[in-house]
Amino acid sequence: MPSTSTIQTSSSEVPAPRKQRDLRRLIARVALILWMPTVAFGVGSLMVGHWAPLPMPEAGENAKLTTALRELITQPSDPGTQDPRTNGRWSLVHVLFEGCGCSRNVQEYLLAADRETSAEEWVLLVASKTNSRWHSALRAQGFRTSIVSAEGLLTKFGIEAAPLFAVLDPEQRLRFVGGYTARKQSLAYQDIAALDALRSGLAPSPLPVFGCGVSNALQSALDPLGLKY
Amino acid sequence: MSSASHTIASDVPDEGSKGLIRRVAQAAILPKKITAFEASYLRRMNRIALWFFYAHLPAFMLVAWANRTGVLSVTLMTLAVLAVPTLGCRAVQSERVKSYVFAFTSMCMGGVLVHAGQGPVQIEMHFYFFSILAMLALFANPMTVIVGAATVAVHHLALWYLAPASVFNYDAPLWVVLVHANFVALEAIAAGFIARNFFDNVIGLEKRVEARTAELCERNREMQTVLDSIEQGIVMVDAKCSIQPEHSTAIVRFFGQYEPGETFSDLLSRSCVTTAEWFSMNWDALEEGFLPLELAIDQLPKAAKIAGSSYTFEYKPTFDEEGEMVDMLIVVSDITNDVAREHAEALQRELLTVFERAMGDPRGFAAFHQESERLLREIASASHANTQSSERLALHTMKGNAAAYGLGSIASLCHSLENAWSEGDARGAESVFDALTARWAELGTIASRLMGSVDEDSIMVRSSDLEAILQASIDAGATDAAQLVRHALLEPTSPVLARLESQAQAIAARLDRGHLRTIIESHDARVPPGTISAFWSSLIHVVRNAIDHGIETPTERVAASKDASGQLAISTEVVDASLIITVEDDGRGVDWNKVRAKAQALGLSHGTPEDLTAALFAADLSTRDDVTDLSGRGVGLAVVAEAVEALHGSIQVESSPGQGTTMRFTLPLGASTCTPS
Amino acid sequence: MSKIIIVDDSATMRSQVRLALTPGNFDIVDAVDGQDGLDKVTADPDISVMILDVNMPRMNGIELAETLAENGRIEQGLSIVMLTTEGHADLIQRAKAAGAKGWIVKPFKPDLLLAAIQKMAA
Repeated sequence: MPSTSTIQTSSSEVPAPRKQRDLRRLIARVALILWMPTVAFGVGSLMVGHWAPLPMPEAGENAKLTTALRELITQPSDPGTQDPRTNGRWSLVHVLFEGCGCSRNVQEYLLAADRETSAEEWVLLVASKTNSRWHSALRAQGFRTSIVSAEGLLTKFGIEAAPLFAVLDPEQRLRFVGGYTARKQSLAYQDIAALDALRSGLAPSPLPVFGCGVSNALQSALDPLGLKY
Repeated sequence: MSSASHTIASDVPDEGSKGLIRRVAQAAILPKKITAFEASYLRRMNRIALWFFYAHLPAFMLVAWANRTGVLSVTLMTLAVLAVPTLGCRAVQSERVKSYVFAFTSMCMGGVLVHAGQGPVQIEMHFYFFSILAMLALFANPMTVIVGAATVAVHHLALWYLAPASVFNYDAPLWVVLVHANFVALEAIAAGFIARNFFDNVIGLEKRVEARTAELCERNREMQTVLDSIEQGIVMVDAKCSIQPEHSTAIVRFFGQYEPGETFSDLLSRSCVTTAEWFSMNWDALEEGFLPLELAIDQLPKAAKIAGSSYTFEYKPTFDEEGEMVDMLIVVSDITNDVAREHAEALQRELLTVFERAMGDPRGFAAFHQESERLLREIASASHANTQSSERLALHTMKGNAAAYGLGSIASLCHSLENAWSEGDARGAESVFDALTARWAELGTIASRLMGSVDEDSIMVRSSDLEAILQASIDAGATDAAQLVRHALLEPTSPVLARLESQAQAIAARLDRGHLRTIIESHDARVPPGTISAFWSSLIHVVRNAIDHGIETPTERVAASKDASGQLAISTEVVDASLIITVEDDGRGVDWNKVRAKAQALGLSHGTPEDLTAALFAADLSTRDDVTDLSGRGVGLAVVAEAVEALHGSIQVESSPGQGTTMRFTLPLGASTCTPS
Repeated sequence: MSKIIIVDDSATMRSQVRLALTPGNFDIVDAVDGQDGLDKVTADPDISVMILDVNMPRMNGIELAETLAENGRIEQGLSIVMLTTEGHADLIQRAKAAGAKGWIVKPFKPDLLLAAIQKMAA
């Protein structure tokens, strides 16, 4: 009989902690149910950006890009440098975004010591005008550079995403614009190959742009959660 | 034929695809019940998985640092994903569901890693998806793999289509997605298959064992139900004769509860030592192996009489491949009822034979009966151990006689006794002799009852023969002879009186009149056969009336200073060619005032004592106010009056209050009736 | 060929046993009581199996078995099997003590008797 009473008292004590535990579990469940789609959506959004080829700027004869690039390569932007002599030479314009990992990779590729090209090379850099480590490094390597704001890149050049490059012939006609690689995240940069093809009168295969959005609009479309930019 | 084959042909693919879906579903979905083993395995796996994913954080930070993808943002993203299993372990109780949470987590981790590992090695980072999908098979659940694959599919497909179409150019990477999906699907199928096999053959094995055990238990339970309800006693003994636990309840009913490890002869010895001894000795022989096994088994006791019940024993041994006996099933049947029924049937058959013989040849049968009695006395006097030749002859004669009279049981018992005598088996002889005398007593009682009226001096003559003798005697003027023959032709009244007497006793018993003294006196009266049978059958009403209305209850009688038991006298007498039947009781007498009042009420004449007697015997008159099942309806005596009237007889009633009533019926019998001279 | 002796005072029983043993192709000797059995089995050392009734005039089966045990005939290779009725455990115990190897219950089944004797004679 005494054992029965013990059981009764203990059983009357049990419900309180159990209720608490149940409540905690319920809260954890609700949190889990809300959190799992959030994470799924977030991670999904990371992946979308990786796969999606980014918008290519318009490259017609009268497009903004054509005009702006011609202007870029014919007018020395920086009075301190040598006067450009583009006549008779092909021009290769690299468009990089200092806040973008892909652009960084391209920048490192451009800085490689063994880089050889007969073309006149420009870097159009979206970066801070006052404090850009890339800018100085590129210039030291002999690139002609020009810093532009993200808005400027869009309004003046019509470019939304980076990195990309453009090729202009000696007559300063825009002959090619595209991303560096045929596939996303590749080390096989195609800029020199495209230039060489154009020089030998061949049409290079089009290259999609993979990388980062530069304009605010594109950035928010690519990364609605603001995880990357 | 053709239509049938057509139907089959059209059905088969449909059936096939349905069957495939069902089989795939069956393979993918595990049995609901989670065994303790599976639960503990999954608990361990889930704990490992949790720490494994926590370990992703530093690894991913390292990757982010190496690929310059932002250590901080990757850390935050990894933590956000880690929140899922952390929450999951708190929110979910089922270890299986927890593993689904880990499957989801693993795919999200893949997404973070691919982001953190952006750059030249980003492709390699995708390997994570494939390796972790394969690892999910460790959870031994195809559904975990499916959840993982589904998570990655949702990421890739849903967000692909949800993303703003204006921004993206779908064309190029669609085939890439399909290739990815294809690999993921292939891997998921293989991993799911592995998981299922892992479950079936390792993790879920306990469940199968459990299922088998449960099945076995169920079968055992069913078997026990059968064993409980079975009439026969069934018990299993091993090669050493130890009783196994499985048994039917009947065996306990027959021989009582047994202790574990007891032998069957131990059990038997508590009820019947001789059977146990015989069993044990033959079992020893069986174990010794000197006699052939079949013979030893055949010589185990087959039947036994234990405490008034008859049992039969059957033995069903089982042998191993080498022919050694492994165990033996012993089936005990209680055939007591069968024996009793057989006995009763045989008795009935033989009684019929006795009856036929006795009817067909009463004198011969009587002689047989008498001789048998004499022989049996002689047999009884024999010493079973050492018999005399005269006794053996007597037994043999009795056997022959019994066989001749169709008393098979007597003949066969005589035969058994002969055998026992010749074997010198005194004990056996004794039991057979007991059986023989018991049997003879059963048959003999009936026979002597049949023989009762037939003594050896009497003969049977046809009544037509007697009538012819009578006629011849009359013709020859031998009046004395004629008188004798005429008398022989008459029917005695004594059997009728005897019957009435026993009926009177039965009525008195039913009416709680206590003991009834009866006096029967036929005076050897005889009547022509059949002439007054209607009267005889009505006379019972008079008897009943005398007991019910006349004789008081014992208490009333004692109060009236009478003998507690009442007296009823019935007599017959032939006086002056009339049969006078008198029924006399010493009861309370007829209440003539009541009879008068009733007669008056019924409009009957009631002036003289003759009038009152007539009224007493009139229909509808009953002096009793209540009606019993025996009398009171006022019909009985009227029937008697009718019968008497039909025979032109008369009724006299003498009754004095408190002293009793005498009813006398006088029936004229005509010339042929007489009393013995 | 084994030599077998049937010791039984009942001619019927002897002939029944003989009939049952026919398929065994034994050399069979009859003895009409215990004394006769003792004489014959002593005279003929080839007899290897004795089928022995219990109740017999002159010398009963138990006595015969005891005598044969005493004079060493059983040791010399005589197997005794008793013929008895069911339930006589006491008699059989005595016969066993005397050296009888087995017992067969009357009425016997001919094939089982044959099997038993064949086993013993082998």
